[in-house]
Amino acid sequence: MKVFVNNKEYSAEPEDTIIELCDKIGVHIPRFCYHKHLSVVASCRMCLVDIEGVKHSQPACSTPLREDMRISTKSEKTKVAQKSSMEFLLINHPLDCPICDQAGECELQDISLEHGDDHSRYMQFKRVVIDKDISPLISTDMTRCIHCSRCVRFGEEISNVKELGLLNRGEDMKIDVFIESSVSSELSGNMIDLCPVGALNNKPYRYTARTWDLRQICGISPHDCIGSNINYHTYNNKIVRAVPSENPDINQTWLSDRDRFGYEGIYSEDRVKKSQMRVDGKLVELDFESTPSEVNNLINNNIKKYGKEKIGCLISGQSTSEELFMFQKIFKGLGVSNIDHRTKESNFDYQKNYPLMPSLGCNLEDLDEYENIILIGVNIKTEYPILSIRLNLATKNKTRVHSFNFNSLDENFDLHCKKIIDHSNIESFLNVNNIELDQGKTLIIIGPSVSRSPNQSNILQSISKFSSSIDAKIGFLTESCNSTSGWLLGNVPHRELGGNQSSIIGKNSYQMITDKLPSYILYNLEPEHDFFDKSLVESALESSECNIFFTSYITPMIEKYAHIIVPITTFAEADGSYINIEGTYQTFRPIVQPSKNIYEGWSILNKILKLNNLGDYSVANIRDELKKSLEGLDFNMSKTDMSNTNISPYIENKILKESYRETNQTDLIVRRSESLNQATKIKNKLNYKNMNNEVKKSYIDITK
Amino acid sequence: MINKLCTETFGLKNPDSLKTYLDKQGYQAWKNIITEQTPKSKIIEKIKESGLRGKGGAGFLTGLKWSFIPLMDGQKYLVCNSDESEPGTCKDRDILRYNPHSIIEGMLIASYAIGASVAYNYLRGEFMDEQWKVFNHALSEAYNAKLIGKNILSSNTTIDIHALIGAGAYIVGEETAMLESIEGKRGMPRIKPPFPAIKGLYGKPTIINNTETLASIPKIMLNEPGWYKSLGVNDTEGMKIFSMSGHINNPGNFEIALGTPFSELLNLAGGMWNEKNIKAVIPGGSSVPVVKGDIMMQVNMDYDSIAEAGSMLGSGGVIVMDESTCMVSVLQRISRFYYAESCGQCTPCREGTGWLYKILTNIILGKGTQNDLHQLERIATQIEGHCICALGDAAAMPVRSFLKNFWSEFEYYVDKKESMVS
Amino acid sequence: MIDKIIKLLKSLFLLEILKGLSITGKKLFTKPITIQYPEEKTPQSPRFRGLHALRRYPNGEERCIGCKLCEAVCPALAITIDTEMRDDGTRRTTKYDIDLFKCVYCGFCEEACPVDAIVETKIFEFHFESRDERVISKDKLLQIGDIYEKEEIKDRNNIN
Repeated sequence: MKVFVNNKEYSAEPEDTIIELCDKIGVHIPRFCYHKHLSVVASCRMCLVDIEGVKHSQPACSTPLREDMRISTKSEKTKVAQKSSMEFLLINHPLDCPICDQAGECELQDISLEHGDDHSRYMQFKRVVIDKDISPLISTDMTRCIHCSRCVRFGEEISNVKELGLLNRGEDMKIDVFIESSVSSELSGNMIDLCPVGALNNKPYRYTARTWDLRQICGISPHDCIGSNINYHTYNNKIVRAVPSENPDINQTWLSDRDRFGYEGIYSEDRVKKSQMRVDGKLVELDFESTPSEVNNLINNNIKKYGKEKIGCLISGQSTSEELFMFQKIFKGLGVSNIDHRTKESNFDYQKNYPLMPSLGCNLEDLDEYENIILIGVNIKTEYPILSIRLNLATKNKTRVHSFNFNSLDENFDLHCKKIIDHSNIESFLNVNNIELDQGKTLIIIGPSVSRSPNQSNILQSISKFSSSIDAKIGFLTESCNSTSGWLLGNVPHRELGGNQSSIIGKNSYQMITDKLPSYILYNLEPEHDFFDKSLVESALESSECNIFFTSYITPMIEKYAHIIVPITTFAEADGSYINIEGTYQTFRPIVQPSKNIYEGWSILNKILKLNNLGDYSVANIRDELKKSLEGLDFNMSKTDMSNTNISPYIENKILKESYRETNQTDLIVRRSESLNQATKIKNKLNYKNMNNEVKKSYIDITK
Repeated sequence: MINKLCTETFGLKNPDSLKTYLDKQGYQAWKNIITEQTPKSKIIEKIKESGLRGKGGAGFLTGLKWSFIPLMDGQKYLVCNSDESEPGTCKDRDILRYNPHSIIEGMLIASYAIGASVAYNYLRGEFMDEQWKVFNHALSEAYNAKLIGKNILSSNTTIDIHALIGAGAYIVGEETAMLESIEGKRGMPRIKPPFPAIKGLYGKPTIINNTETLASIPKIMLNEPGWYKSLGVNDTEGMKIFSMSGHINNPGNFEIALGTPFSELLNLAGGMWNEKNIKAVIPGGSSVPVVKGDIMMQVNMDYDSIAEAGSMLGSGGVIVMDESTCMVSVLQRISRFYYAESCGQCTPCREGTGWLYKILTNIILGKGTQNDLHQLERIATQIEGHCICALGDAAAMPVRSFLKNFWSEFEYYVDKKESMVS
Repeated sequence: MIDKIIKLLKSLFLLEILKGLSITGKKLFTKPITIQYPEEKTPQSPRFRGLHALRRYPNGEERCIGCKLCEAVCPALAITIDTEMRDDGTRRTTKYDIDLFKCVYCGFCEEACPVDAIVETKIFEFHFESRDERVISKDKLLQIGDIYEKEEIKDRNNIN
């Protein structure tokens, strides 16, 4: 189709609107209410453009293109129309830019510079709106609102949690909530980005810096296995806020609250600031230079003293790929095969037939191509909020989503069916007669609650059998953000780098803990929260003679049982990379500099490696080797067959059947984010009132 | 008057009962259609030929509107717009009250013609106490007589009519806002295109007609094709109810032939109150431009003549003002109405109506300046044509016309801080 | 040839010196323009740009809202500001430092300020005894403001 914009000819897609065409060809049209991921309401009237043959200027966002349409974005008529809309928008907008956090990145400011008048003709009183405290994460100055309704549409269309609404009409119209502090969805922070003015703003960031002071560095979310891209904004070498970095393949323009506010954990008071060593039962500080050799001596002494098979090496799946690579390099190099990252699991019979790595089985943008998606043991809304946006759009398209979970938590998208299952009866549930499948492709997504169940292998086996009976694909969602690397880079007792089988099969994390080894090395792990059972870990650590902790945070258990504590950086302070659940490898630079006595994770591991003459790497070298060893591997396995697993009889044990993780408790950094904790507290208070008794009971169990 | 279309039962004993209506050849047209199974296209053709124009304000040809509906099968809807909130208009109120069966019959014929199995009648919230009850009573009477519902008169035709009551918003009289309201959402107009005939209520093709339009349909169907056309006088076609109000002796609804001179209509309404001189007339509800009295006296009441006089026939709410009226106060009152009724969706109307009202209030309080008058005119032009629906235009048009026709009076008020007439 | 003769005559009669002495002679009898600083001072314009001060509102509330516009506009990067939310929810500075060695007294900060908080007073005589004192803090600036508030108001009225 042929259209003319400013007398220049362009070819256009017939289904596009004027604004979509102009965005593609780079002609700027001012807009407030239009957003490419939201429905069109054409209410701000800022995008009015002059179309030849039409009496009045028409909104570019809602007017479809016609053959031979002649659009002028610069004509006098367009200018007059846009200027008048601008004047109307400004008459009730307060002139408090000096104290508004949005100033400098405010769409109203930018557009009024171009289209506004330099003096006001409005002499009457301005509208004032009294604010409510809507959320601990979002600050409101509703007097500044220009009623573009983006936030309302976000709730209706994207997050599917209707939190903000329009009240009253005409000039008195306001965007508000009915109950204070009731904006509590896992995606609520996106409304901050959507708001073109300073009406909805980032509360923890409030008044800390101005936009022109900030430096922007792109990072990758360490809080879930989706790997959202985040732009961190730093001021004086401190992260002050996070905004999404657009990546159409992964997070589009959205970000979950966990990713947005999780960084606060870096500034927790629990941070270990200096290496410490236990001398005569007391922790004493160690100087920076001697730490690597002290750690190395300890490791080597332990190996000599207790034997290779008596050392337990555990690393968190939250660690970067570089750290995971170096970790296995050291310990496999030293001949230790007890190495594992699956610290929350307790049943490992499945491991031999497990695919190369846990993978979603498809790309995120392809999720809506499936007719059926069966979720087993996962609550997407709370555990993978960013994924719920994709699933919400998929269900609006054609996908039927079935949910089988161990608890009765709700999703924020339409479920075709929802059943509460128990660990023991999952097999009977997975039956074609039980599930109303639509004709077409099916994807089974196995969530972290499955991996945490004491009969994980049985469940995986029955899922595998079921999937082959209906010709479905199997996908995984993992506990930690980098479990994929854990598997691929050989941080499991039975596999080497690149997924090759090991000759010696070491102990898995459950055996390491229950066998009570004399020496443990824990990397980036919090004994209190990161294990399948807290008390078992405690007794193991107590009976062990030498515990080496590489950690960013000090916890009571670490303080009590550590022999040596090595402070390491968090994701934000060192180079790193993650492999997300689709198999996308994403690297990032340090966002802030670590304080001077904290080691970059990979570099202290490298120092130990060097001391053992096992090699010497730089970040670039590590990445080269990673790529080399991962070359040619099929991440998105076409088929997962785990039906031939030999399963030892399932013994009921005392291990906690924890089936639910609080959104903001998933990893050690978000656990320390103050604003998120406060948000959780308020949300729980609200939810608790609305729960039915059955849920209330399970809820009390969880929070214990 | 000799011919009565919608007002036939007015003034009779029990005007709203089914019996009265049946005595006046009621439901005859509907029975004919249903027994003969008249083809839909034939009905639409007949309405087209009659030249019936929508009587809610815009005056769009009804037959043409019906022909926009897609022919394919599937759910379609008919909506009757009884959300009559235009200041100065009260015709639908009386039809609902005194002749509800004509609306029901019209709705049935229209639903049949467009292939809708469900029709809604949306009444304004203020009709709760009387018209709502009367209409519902009439509906149940018609259901009992098997004229509506499943298998009407054993013909396999199913049409259901539901009456709905609004919550008191003027904007819901706008057709797409009405659809939103019926769907249970905020009554805010939708963007067009797509038009309701393609994508309307619940995303299905929908036809929305005014109460008076639908009430006229039974009589048109019952008579010869050229009958309705011949009703008009002075080279015009059809009839219209005019709601006369203001400084006249005998306010009320008058159904007259289109083309009747205004002076005749004024005489029908008993002439000017206290025999004062006529100053100005708003001929079609508060949102149309005002016309000076002496010009209006020369005008015939039909679409074209009124357009020539610089105004619109609109919904037929004629507001007559005599020489003692302060035009500044009138405009301020009208502006306040639009300020209060703007839905708040689009910027020019949300902010502009308030601005207009605030400036006019300032003038009334004696704080106005000469510049304010120019400001008013400028704001009105800035609103006009820049909104989703017609409310913006409706708020701007009176301001511009009042200023144009009575500039000296506004100037006097600003300079002397008091009204020219008091 | 003639030029040379004229030059010779001029130097012979010391014309240049007489010219110079005539100015000296004139000035001997006029009022001297030298000012005996510090006993005497030159007059100052109300727009004079001297030492900085932070002003307060008549009710004692500090004017500065921490918008950082002065920091942004400062060509010498002499101003450093940190802000936070005060308990009453208003935006306030926790740090407002001006490095007087860097400052070029251009007055841009004064012009950028939306609330007339930072001003340049008429004070031009100040000294430091150590280099550290060159950075004046918020407290000091407010103190100066308190002392010279009346003069500031007077100057502002004179300008307008």
